[in-house]
Amino acid sequence: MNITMLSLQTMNGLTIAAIYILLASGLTIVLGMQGIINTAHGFFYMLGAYIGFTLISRTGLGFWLCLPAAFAVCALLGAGLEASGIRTLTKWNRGHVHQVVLTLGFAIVGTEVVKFIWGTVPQSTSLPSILRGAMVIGPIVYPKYWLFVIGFSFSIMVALWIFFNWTGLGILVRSIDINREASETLGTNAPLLTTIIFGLGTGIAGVAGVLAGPILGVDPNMGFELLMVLFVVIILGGLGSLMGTIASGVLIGLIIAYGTMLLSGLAAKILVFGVMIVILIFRPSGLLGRGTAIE
Amino acid sequence: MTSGKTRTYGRFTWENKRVKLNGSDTMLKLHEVHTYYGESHILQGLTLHVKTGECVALLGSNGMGKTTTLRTIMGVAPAKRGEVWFDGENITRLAPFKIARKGLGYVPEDRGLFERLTVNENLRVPFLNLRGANRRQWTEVLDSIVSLFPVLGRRESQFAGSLSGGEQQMLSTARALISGHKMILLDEPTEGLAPIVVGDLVKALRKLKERGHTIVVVEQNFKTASALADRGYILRKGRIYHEDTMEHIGEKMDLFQHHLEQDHAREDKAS
Repeated sequence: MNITMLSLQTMNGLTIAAIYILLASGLTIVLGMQGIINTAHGFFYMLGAYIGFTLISRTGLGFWLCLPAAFAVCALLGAGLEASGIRTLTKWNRGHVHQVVLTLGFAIVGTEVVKFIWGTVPQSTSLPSILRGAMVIGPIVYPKYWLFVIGFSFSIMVALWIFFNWTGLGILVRSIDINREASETLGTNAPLLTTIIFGLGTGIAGVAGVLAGPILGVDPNMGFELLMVLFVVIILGGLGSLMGTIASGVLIGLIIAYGTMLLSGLAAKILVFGVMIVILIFRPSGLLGRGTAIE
Repeated sequence: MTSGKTRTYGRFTWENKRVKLNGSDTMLKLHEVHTYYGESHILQGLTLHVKTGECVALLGSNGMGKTTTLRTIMGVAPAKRGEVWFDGENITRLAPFKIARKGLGYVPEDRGLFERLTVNENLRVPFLNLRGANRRQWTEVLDSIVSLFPVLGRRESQFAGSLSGGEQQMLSTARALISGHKMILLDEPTEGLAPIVVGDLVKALRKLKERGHTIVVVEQNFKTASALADRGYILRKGRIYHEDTMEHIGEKMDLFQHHLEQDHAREDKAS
């Protein structure tokens, strides 16, 4: 294996990581902060990919309009799911099993609706002209779009970090994460904020779907396939930790890229779970986990 | 009703506020309140009232429903039957955040601090929830808090979890004051604190009282309670056993204790 091949695989790994990180950030906020297990997260990612595909291929709307459109649709749908379903379960003091059943049921029904509307044949999304072609970085030739995905995901993570650490709303969200009852007795509308943050998480999943479409293709099962890896990313990073999500996303992205090159796709996936088990033995709260803190 | 020094910022009013209560001077009223924890019937028809600007102590031994009374007022342990009225409004069925936004502050027994947030961020939580509050007013609120609890000014950027017990209690009280511009509920504010710290805290609370704040305090230590409160309620089994001025309660304390012990002995015998 020469240096060019190694560099290319590293960049491939970072691109995969960028999509994982973006997707997992929404999931870790919802699970780490609110303790909600949203198994429909993959569905929102798939829905975002279909929204992108439809708006670009069938309506002629630009790629740049797809990103906010997918965010808005997925965020509103996610907020609706939280406000109507999960909040009711919380009110009835139902636990995680009920959340899993509700969100999984929602995802299954949603996926069937998507199949009914778009069919089961995998689709591919075209790119805007500015992101087509390749860039030459030293010895490697790399697709412009992949670099864009890395940069875009990084920007979203920075924006999330600023939101949680430097804004008033972020302080309120963190206060709910630490002590929900105390925060409510100080006037925080915790139910509304929970809905907003849940919507933010599913909206980001939709954006990740739009970004992944041109690389990984669009098909109705793309969300379910990724869900297990996403849970590995957030558990390995430490629940609720955005920095941990970045670290574990990069680690898993690189393991998949190198594992696929040196062994096979299946072996790479097995390797991911192996690494997770080893790390959790030595660090049970994950790489950068500290309880359920959002850092 | 008299009005103290009142600052009004648009829809937002904070500090030294005395409120006219629909022609009445009663700030808080509980009528025949029943609260349950699961199957346990904790408050069994509790009735009490607190006048504007008054400091009232809830007294009684452990497990008599003092903490539950405060939690019921705040909506954290909502009443199943009966009514809770605050500032002329029925708040019995309201969510805790809605009750807090009506100007009621609460300092729970465990202080309820956000350990991984700084002192400044802890104080900002109730401020951010006030309607019409802005950055300029934040500086004024912070100055006012620091004038009451100077130590918090020196610890502003420190994590709440790293403060001493006394400092944590001051932070919790200060935080409740920001949301509770009409009234604050204090649950065992001096519990676990060194005597010198208790002295400082009592001084600060007395200052609050002088400024016209309405206060309800749950306190095990009668001496501390009588240093703060004008009037007291002795609770027994989720009901009011006796109501009087702190002075009179103090005079008859031995008699009350004797009666309560006799009641306990009778119950033990019966069971």
